[in-house]
Formats: sequence, C-alpha cells, structure tokens
Amino acid sequence: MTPVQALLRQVRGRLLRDRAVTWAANGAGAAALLALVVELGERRWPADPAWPPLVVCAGIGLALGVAGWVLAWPSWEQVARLADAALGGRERLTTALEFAAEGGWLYTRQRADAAAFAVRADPAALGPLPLPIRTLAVAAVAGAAAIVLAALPNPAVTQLRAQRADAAAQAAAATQVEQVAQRVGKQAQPGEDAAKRQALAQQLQNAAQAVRKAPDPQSAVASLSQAQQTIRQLQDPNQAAKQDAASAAGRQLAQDPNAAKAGQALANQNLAAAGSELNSLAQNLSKLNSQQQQQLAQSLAQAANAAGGDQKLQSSLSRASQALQRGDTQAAQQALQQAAQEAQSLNGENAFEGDVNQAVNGLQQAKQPLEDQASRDAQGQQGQQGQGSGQNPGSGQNPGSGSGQNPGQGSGQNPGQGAGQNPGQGAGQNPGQGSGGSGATGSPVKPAGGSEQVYVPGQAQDTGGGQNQGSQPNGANSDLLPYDEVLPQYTQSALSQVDRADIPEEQRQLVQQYFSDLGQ
Amino acid sequence: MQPERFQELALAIEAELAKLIVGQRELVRSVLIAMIAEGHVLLEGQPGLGKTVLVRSLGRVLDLGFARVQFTPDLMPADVTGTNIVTEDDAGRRRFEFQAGPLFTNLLLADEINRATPKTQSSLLEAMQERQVTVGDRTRHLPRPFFVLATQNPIELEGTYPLPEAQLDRFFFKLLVPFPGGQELAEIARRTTGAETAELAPVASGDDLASMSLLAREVPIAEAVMDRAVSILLGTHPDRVEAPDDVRRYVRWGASPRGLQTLVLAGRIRALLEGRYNVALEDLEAVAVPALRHRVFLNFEADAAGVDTERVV
Repeated sequence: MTPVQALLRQVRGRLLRDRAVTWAANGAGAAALLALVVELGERRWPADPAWPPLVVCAGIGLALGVAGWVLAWPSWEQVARLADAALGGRERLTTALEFAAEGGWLYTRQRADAAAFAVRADPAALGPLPLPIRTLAVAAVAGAAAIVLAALPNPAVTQLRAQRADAAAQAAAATQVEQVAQRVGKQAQPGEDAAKRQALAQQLQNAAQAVRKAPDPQSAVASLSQAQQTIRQLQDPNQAAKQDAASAAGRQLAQDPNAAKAGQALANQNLAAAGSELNSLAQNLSKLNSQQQQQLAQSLAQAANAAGGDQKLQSSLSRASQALQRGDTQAAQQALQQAAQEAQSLNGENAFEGDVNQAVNGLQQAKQPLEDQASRDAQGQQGQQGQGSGQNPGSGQNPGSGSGQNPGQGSGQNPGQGAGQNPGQGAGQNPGQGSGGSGATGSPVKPAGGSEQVYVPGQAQDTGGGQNQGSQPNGANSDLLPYDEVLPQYTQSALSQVDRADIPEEQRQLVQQYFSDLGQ
Repeated sequence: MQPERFQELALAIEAELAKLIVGQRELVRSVLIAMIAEGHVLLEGQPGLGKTVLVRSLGRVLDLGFARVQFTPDLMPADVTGTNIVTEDDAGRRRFEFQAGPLFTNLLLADEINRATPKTQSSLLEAMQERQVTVGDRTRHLPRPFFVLATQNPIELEGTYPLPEAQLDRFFFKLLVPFPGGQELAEIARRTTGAETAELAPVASGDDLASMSLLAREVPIAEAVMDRAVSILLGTHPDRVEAPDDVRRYVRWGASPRGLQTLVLAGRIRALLEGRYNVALEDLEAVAVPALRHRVFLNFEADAAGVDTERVV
C-alpha cells in the first residue's frame, strides 16, 4: 500500500465517521420531527395504542440515517479532494490518485511528491469530529416536545377509548338481550297465547338491535327501558284477579270431598294439577250418586260465586253447578271440562307472565353495564369539562313505574334533577315512565344511579291508570296501592317462578305456605 | 528540461530583475508566467511606475531582441510592421525591398498602445496571434520567441482609443502596475540617483523560455481542477447557471475560451514555479484575475455602480 493510499484510507475512515454522526443526527431530527407531527396529529385523529406510529417514526428516522449514510459513502476521488482541502495537499493527492497508472517521468515525479506529502501529513489535523449542533438541537427540541405531548393526557384518545368501551358495552348488552330473546322464545307453555310470546321475542330482538345501534350507552339504556315498558304491556292486567278468583273458587271446592283435590290445586294455584283434577272430576261425575251430585253442585255454585274475578271460570263453574242441579251430568261434564281448560289457560298465562318478568329482569341486567359505562362517560366528561352539560338531565326513565309492586319506590333514574327542556313529559301507561326528554343544558348529574327497579313478581296492573303521571319526573309515588291488592300478584308470580321441575316439591310447598300465611 | 532547472531559471530571472526593479514581485512573477507561456501582456498603470524599465530589463535578462514603439495617434501601421521601399542596386536597377518595422524583434514594448488609432492597433493583431506579418502580398514570420508587452495609461482618457475586445483577448495577462510603497519608493530613489547603475546580465535565453513552456504544458491537472477552471470561466457568463449574482447583474459578455486556456496554462506554470508537479486550485485562483479581467466586459449598470472587472472576477 502506497503512502497515498494509506493516508486516503485513514481520511476515508474519518470521513465515514463524520457522515455517520451527521446522518445519525439527521435521522434523529427527522424521527423527532415526525414524532412531534404524529403527536400533534393524534390530538385530532387519535390512535390507540399510540406507540405504533411512534415506532414507525423511529423506523423512518433510522432508515433515513442509514440510507443517507450509505448514499453518502464517499468515493476515493472525493476522499482525495477532501484530504487535499483539509490537509493542505494542494490537489497532490487528487492528481496522484487520478494519474496513478499514468506513465511519464513528470507523472512519476508528481506521485512521488504526493507520497512525500502523504508521509508528512498528519491526519490529526482533521480535528475532532464535528457535531451537527443545529440538527441535534432541532432533534432535541422536537423530541422533548413530542415526549411532553405524549405524557400529557390526550382528550381525543380518551374519547376514542370511551367510544370503544361504549360500543363494547352496547354489543355485550345486545348479545345478552338476544340470549334472553332466544331463551324466552323456547319456553312456550300449553294454554298460553302464542302471539303474545312471539311478540315478546320480537320486542326483545328489537331491543337488542336498538341497543346495538344506539349512539351511546345512555340511549341504549333508554331503548332498554322503553323495551321494558313495551314488554310489560304484554302482560294481562287481570291476571292477578283471575288467580285470586281461582284461589277463592278452589277454597270453596276443597270443602267438597269429591272436588277436594281440584279445589286444593286451585287454591294452591297449582293450575296444571287443577286442570287435570277438574277433568278427572268431569269424567267421574256419572259415578256420583245424586246426593253427591247435589252436594257438588252446591260447592260449584259457591265456587262460582267466589270466582268473580274470572268470568270464564265463574261461568263454567256456574253452568256445571246448574247442570248438576238439573241432573244433566253430560252438560255438567262439559262445563267442568271448560273450567279445566280455563285453569290450563290460566296456568299458561302465569307461565308467560313469569317469562315476561324474566325478560324484564334480563333487560334490567343488560342495562346495568350500560349504566355503569354511561356513568364513566359522564365522569370523564366532568373531568374534562368541569361543569359541562349533561345528557338527558332529569330524564326519569321509569319514574314511579313501580306501582303495584314496590309502591313508592319508583324514583326513576334521576329523581328530582330534571332540568331538561321537557322534564318528565312522558305519557306512558305506566305512571311516571315518560322520559324527560333530552335536556340541552341540564346539570351533569350521574344518570341512572342504579335506581332502576328490578321487577320481581307483582307487576303493576296499570294501577296508575296511565294518566300521564310521568309528568313528575322525580318519580313521586302517587300510585301507592294497598298491600292486599298487590299480594295476590306477588303470590301468583312467585308460585309460577317455583313451578318448575328442578325445584323440589317440598320447597314449592314452602313458598306456597309462606304466601298463604301472608294472605291470612 | 527538468523541473529543478525550470525553477532555477525562473528564480535567476526574478533575482536579476530584482536588481533593477524595486518590489513588484507579483508583477514580475506574472510577467514571467506570461512569457513562459509565450503570451502577451498588457500593463496598465500610471506613468513612472517602471513599466518600460521592466520590459527593457526583461529583454536584457533573457538575452532577447528588444524594440520599443511609442504609440501616438499619427502612428501608421507601416511604422510598426514595416513597408516595402524602392531601392537601387549597384547596377542601377531599382526594386522593392522590405524594410522591417520594429515588430520584427523578440520583445516589443508597445508603449501607450491605446493612443494609436484602431487601424494601427489592429496591425498588431496578426502579429500577436499568428506571429507573422503580411505586407503587400507577402507574409513574413516574426522571430521566435515573440512577445508584445503593451502599456496603457488609465488616467489620460482624452485622445485615447480603447482597445477593441478582439485585441484585448489576444493578451495573455492584463496586469495592473501598483504604486510602490514608502520603503520601495525610498529604495527606488537610492538606486536611481546614486553614482552606480545596476548592470543586468542575461541569465536565460529564448530557447530556455521555449523549453520551460514545453515542460509546463506537461504538468498534470486533475479532472476536478479542470472542472474548477471551466466553472470559473462559465461563471463569468451572465447567462450561465454557474454565474453569481454580480455577474448576472453587471456583466455584458463573459470571457472567451482563450480565457480558459490562459487559466490552465498559467496554472501549470505557477505550479512548477511553486515547486509542485500538479495544478492546484489555488494556482487557478491566483491567475484568474490577470487572466480574465480584460476578457470580461461590463455593462452600463456596472459603470454606473462603479463596479470594475476585478470585483466581478
């Protein structure tokens, strides 16, 4: 290796280090500036998680630095020119390199002169590595700004996360409602109205879709509340009276030894068994002597009198009584069979009522996570806006809706806080169920607040009359009912709930006994 | 010729001239470069700065024939080139015989060249470029080497005829003769007013100059340096992208390709004079002003702004 080549190698190494530092600074500057731009952009177009764009920025910076360094790889001619300039070679090295293979004594002299210069040249004269201060300063400032922005809370990201959480909560709630709909659709009982069950399933499906499409959890909760109200309207308001009538009739029939089983089943609200017993009684009428028939006719007449709340049952029992008094066992038999059918129908209606209650409870359970999410959203908005405007202030989705089952407890979601434009103007059948409308600038109160009622057996029989009592968004319990009026409904519902194969008979009797004791 | 001999001769010439010429080292060096390149020199300076002495001294040091022509408005071309005159031989027969003018010498001092009419000035064109003179129907070659060292006075503008661009381009260098400093003036006074007068001895010949010129033309020049020379020349053209703002604004015409030839050749000679065997960028920068200042022509705006070619180059 000639002295010129050795010197040029040294200079090239130094030059590569110089350019490595330069391009590293350029890459860092580019990455920092890109990161800053990304951070600023994420304030408007958020990304969650935020680190992938930053990793891309770092990658771009690294690629730029490496590519720049490679592309700036100096040729030997460049090295020679730079060495001449930096070491005072006066183009000796450049010329020697260019005419390295040239013949002629003057070229030889020139190469020797360049070699002599290379021997005495000191590469240390190149000085320390120059730092690209300006670029590094830009990189440092941009990087610091990006870090500060990354450390500061990003409202856009918070909002994005809230939206995602809202969507997830709504999707989960919709799925839950769909499961309820499927379960309810498969629980058809003999004697019930199939159209009502189909309507129930359809309402639940509609509620699931509404929840899925709702713009926010608050709206989804409102949709579910609306669905609860609609579903409750599928219940027969006279069901409790019918049950009461059946019980009363059963108690009268139980006094007759021939109709004791049927009477006891009716009294105990075991309507399926009551139907069977009444059919059995109808089949056995011809086996009774006339005295027994007359005694049964009298019991049936008393039972008919007691079954005033159920006209069909009353009519059947009455016709059976009259037929027996006439000695027309065939007519009596037909009447008793109709009474048995009525008992079966009543039993089916009871089961449907129970399913309606289950559906309402299922909707209520689906509402809970949505309410929690809405609460978190509201808290987040409060945190961001302080005294911000709340959504649906004072909406009172179900204010006072607990008439008949929890009198005086139907306080609604936002009792007494309605400051919306249309506070409590609902006009539902269930008193106080009107939504308060979306208040434009109401105070940001915590919605729902877990005050939604879980409807246990004992549905409101529209006792509020639907007289627009929802005009009181605070859910004032203006529809308090006497205890003895709601007890039969509770009794019927509880018994229908426990009337399942998986519940032991003794436990069912225990529940039955409990409500019997309450009735006394 | 070896480079060492080249340097030895150059130093000897400069040392000999220094016996009579006080200071003016750069001027002497530039004139020497031009003569090694077999180029002509236009000297500009105030009267009394030693221009004529320098040229005459060069003639003596280089052992060259010397002639001086004082250019005046009534000077005719034939007064410079020579003319055919009628002569009579011993037999009484008359015939035309060429009477050579002062141009037939090695070193011609054209003093105050801008005082002659353009017609007379143009009579020098052929001699300077082709180194030959055509009188009548016959062309005669001038002796080699042949140099024209012209002077012009920048002060007296009345009665002068500025040299045309074509003729200016024939001059290898245009050199400004600076006014000497105080110490140099004192030295001039001592040397010229004493009893003794320095006698100059020839230290080189015309053949030596030719050999030096041949050697200089072999000095290698790297491509990057050549590119720089081209860049410098193109930079004087206002319509080129290489031109700086001042050139675009003030220059009417840029330097001709002769300017590039001058740059490179002068750079080669300077490199040898500096003891190097290659042309450096600093060689080009050192010779750029004398090589290009008379080849760049400024516009009216430059005149109005007081910008001269020195600044532009």
